[in-house]
Amino acid sequence: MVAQFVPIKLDINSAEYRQWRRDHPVEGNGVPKLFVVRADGETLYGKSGSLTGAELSIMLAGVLRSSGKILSPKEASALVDAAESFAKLKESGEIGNAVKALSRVRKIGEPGSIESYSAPAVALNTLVIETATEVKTQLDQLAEKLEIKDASEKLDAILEFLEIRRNYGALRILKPELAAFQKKHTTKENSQLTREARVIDSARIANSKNKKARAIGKLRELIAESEIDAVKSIAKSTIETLEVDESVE
Amino acid sequence: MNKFKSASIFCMLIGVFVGTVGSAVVSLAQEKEDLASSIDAAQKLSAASGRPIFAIAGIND
Repeated sequence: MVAQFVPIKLDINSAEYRQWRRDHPVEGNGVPKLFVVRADGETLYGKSGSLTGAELSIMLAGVLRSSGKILSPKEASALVDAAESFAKLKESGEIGNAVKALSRVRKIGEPGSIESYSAPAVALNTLVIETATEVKTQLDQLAEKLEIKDASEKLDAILEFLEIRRNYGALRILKPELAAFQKKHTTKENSQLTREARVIDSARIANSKNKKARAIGKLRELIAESEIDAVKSIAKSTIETLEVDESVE
Repeated sequence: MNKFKSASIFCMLIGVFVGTVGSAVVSLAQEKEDLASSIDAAQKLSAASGRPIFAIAGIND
């Protein structure tokens, strides 16, 4: 059990210990003084006096229950790598790949809520929670945009939502918000516009010659069938982009 | 840390709490290489792995 702790001996007359005592409260005035401090600095135990072997075992088992997951060096390094890749890919706009980079650490815990107080886990959780907050703000703005009657604004908002869902859908922390937005704004309201926006969204991510050719075909059908001018206009510009891409390839 | 060393430290730490502070310090000193060398080192080890710090404060002989 003790391998699950970082043991240290402190001299109560040292300057180092005086600093330690400022950060970690202890009950009683005698010696020895025993402390258990969680990886995030929280004092889990601080008392003066000896413990018998059995008392010590019970105390250690008790504090371990509040200590969170202990990482192996390999797990710690995987979390550091995942956080670095996530931040780098997100920064360069590759959101989908950034989220995929997190999938490698799912066996350790769900990014955003990894139950460990270790620095790598806390750093990754913070990164994911901050990202989730940004996305929630974006969803709020899109919801406001959808209140506007203008079809073009609504179409833009729905296309943005579809992109967000595609990119961030795998993040469990965002699933409730994405599902609620989808239910309220694209299923109950704007269902026709959403169906048409999906054709445009699929075309935007077509990444092979065959997929692009199929996407152009579907966009042409959409232009012929849609009654919404904004849809026709964006479908046309998407075809132009795909055709330019094809000619470049 | 291998199992033998873990068991050894565990026995040593139990010894700390059933023994006197003086003998505890002696016991601890015998396994010095297994202890964090400073609070800073302990905090770094703890933060890296999530292992809590187990600190025993006493009077150094």
